[in-house]
Amino acid sequence: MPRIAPSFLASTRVPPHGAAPALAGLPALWRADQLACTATPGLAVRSTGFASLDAELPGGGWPAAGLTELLLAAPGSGELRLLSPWLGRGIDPVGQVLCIAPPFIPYALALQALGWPLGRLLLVTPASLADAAWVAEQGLRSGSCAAVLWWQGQERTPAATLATALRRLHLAAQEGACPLFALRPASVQAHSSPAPLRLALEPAALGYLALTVFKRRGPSMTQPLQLLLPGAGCSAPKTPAASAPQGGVARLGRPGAGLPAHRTLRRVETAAEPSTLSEPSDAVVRAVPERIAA
Amino acid sequence: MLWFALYLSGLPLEALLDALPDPPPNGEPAARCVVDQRRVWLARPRARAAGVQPGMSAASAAALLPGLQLLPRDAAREAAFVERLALTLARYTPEVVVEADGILLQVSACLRLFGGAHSLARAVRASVRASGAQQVRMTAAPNAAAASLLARVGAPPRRSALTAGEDAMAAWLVHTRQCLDALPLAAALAAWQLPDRTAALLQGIGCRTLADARALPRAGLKRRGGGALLERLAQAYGEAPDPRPWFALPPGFEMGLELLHRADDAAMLVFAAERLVQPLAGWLAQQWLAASRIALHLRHESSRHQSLPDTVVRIGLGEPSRDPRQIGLLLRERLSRTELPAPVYALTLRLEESVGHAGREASLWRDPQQRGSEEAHGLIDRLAARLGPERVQRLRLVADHRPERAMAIVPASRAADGAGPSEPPRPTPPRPTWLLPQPLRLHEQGGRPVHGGPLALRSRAERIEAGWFDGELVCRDYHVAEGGDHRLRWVFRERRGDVAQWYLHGLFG
Repeated sequence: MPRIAPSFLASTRVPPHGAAPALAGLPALWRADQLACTATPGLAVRSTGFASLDAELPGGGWPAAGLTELLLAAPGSGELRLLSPWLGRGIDPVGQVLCIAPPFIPYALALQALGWPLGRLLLVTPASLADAAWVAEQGLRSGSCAAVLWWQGQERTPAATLATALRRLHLAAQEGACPLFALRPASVQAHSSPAPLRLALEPAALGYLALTVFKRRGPSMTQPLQLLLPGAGCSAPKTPAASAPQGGVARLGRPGAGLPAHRTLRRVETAAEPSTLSEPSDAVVRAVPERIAA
Repeated sequence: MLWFALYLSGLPLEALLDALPDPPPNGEPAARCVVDQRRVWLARPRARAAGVQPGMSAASAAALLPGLQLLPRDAAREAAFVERLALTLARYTPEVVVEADGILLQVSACLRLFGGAHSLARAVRASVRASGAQQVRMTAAPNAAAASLLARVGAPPRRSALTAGEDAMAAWLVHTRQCLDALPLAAALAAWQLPDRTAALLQGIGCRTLADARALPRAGLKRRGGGALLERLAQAYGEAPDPRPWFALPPGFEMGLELLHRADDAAMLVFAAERLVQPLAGWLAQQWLAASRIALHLRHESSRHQSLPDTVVRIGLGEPSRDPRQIGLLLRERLSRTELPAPVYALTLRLEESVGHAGREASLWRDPQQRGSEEAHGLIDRLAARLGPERVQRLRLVADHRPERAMAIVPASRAADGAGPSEPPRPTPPRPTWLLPQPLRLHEQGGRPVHGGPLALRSRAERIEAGWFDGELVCRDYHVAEGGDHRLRWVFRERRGDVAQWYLHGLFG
């Protein structure tokens, strides 16, 4: 396999030079060394809310229909914060957001602060994998869901059975024009999957998220993308990228790759680490709820 | 006036089979015929092909076709079948007349609501088929007697003639009259169940059609015993009054169905239960109601040793509905999950609670908010019917400073729709997106908490002290901490007691 030039990003925008210049101008033509664009049939997208991630995804955003896989080493890798700009602004403003088998309790306060549509959030905790797949299919086919998120744990189900279920759900998601996100353990990365878009999420230092798109309609990704996620609030004052309110961007190890130099992250080591516990000084809460006071 | 008449030509057999899936799941349908007083009353095409004729004795029919199923005729089941069908069709018009083997609908007042005579006829046909009546002849005519007669006897009027507009209506009336004129007299007399003597008399003087009979001198015909015939003819041509009692709805809905064979597992009951949902929907539509709770009672076979109480499957609807598809879907989900203690031989559907529901105003553009809310209620009901209402939930914010009490998880079926927080999100100190159900106690190493390796604190402390007013005091210092795997955690140090203790309370997912 030929090594892909590091500047492949730039090459996606110029018309491909080659044998058939007449074909180059066709918007519906997709060459395998390009990222698929929105003119590709069946590819409608919504922005992720992160400009650098949009640039890596075919069409420039999360698919508006069909299955997308996010692989997590463990729950709590930043998956909810990654999806929050999209869930807050990018989805159908009427439909429900169906969360199937979340590993813990989604904390309403944090989700509201991240802009999730809390009133339309529906939590379903099925007892078995078969039930979970049934719920996902019901949600996708009902036409009343704006997004379906499905968490899979380390089940003992054979990989072939899971792949069949996912293929069925992918079809249902395409027919129902509803995006389905399967959040799966990182151990399934080597297994085949019908999802046209697969990402691996790995938390990095200081509240960053290292994100690898390892399957997409386009060339493979050479280096993981570093995203600063909103909502954790710990490292925001310490990085220059935090001047952007949400979705600050940095690309580790590739200074100058199309990004202003001051936005690259160079100060990973300089992050102050409180070695001793500071005395609580700010944010002291002495609560008297209104109903008691009144 | 426009009347639809339905004639159920296969009623005796269909009434017996209505609790069986058709065709049966195992292969070909059996040859069947219905027997009344040891004579064949009605034979299916398969039986007729073997030479079984109505009127033949049961013994000779069995001899002709060895595998023939002889089913005794059951007048009570037939009446119940017609009543179920009448209730089903009550959703189209309040003016329903029930006959022994047919149903009449007066539909001139509801044509506009259902988009004209043709689309109404299509809808009625679909409902009839869904209720298990397969052999149905349906006609439209300007009066009840003509519609009923034309459905039973031969050539119905062309349906294409039945279109809107005054001229078209007049042409259709003329056409219907011509159809009546051409009807064979013998068949009409049989349909009216007039004495054989009249038929013999008219045949003797060469009358073949209704037009011939109408041309006869009335006084003479009446003197010779044709008074009843004259009256029926005048009614069919719309020249004499034809009062008929409307079908009266029962005050509450409770309908039973006895199975021909006992059902061993609940999935077999689904078919029979759906037969009861259609009449329920018709009843509800007629009363302007929507079901909010229904109960399906499954009666078990009782033996001498034990008599089991009925199994009751109760279904609550989050959004009251009278849509037969929605109710049928919920019933199917619940039934396929029900364990039966014993075989079932009868079931009863009862409406336990209903609310007024006047229907929706038609609008040019439907409100997307309202559409979304209705569809969401349907989805929640479906999920709750299969998984149980406690597994389908919504999140609610609660005004409390203690993190674990700042939210509540409520069953989605009881949560008021869209009653979420209307206020815009306030800037808050960092909060984790995942909350552990119980804080997890952490060990301490060198003054730092340990969770898969020592944790580094990434934020200053946020002190939360609340709960003195209800005896559940918490005194905690919360920090964002990062572990060796770079996952961010929300940890706190409990400050009560002598020794400070670290706990893990959430994850920044």
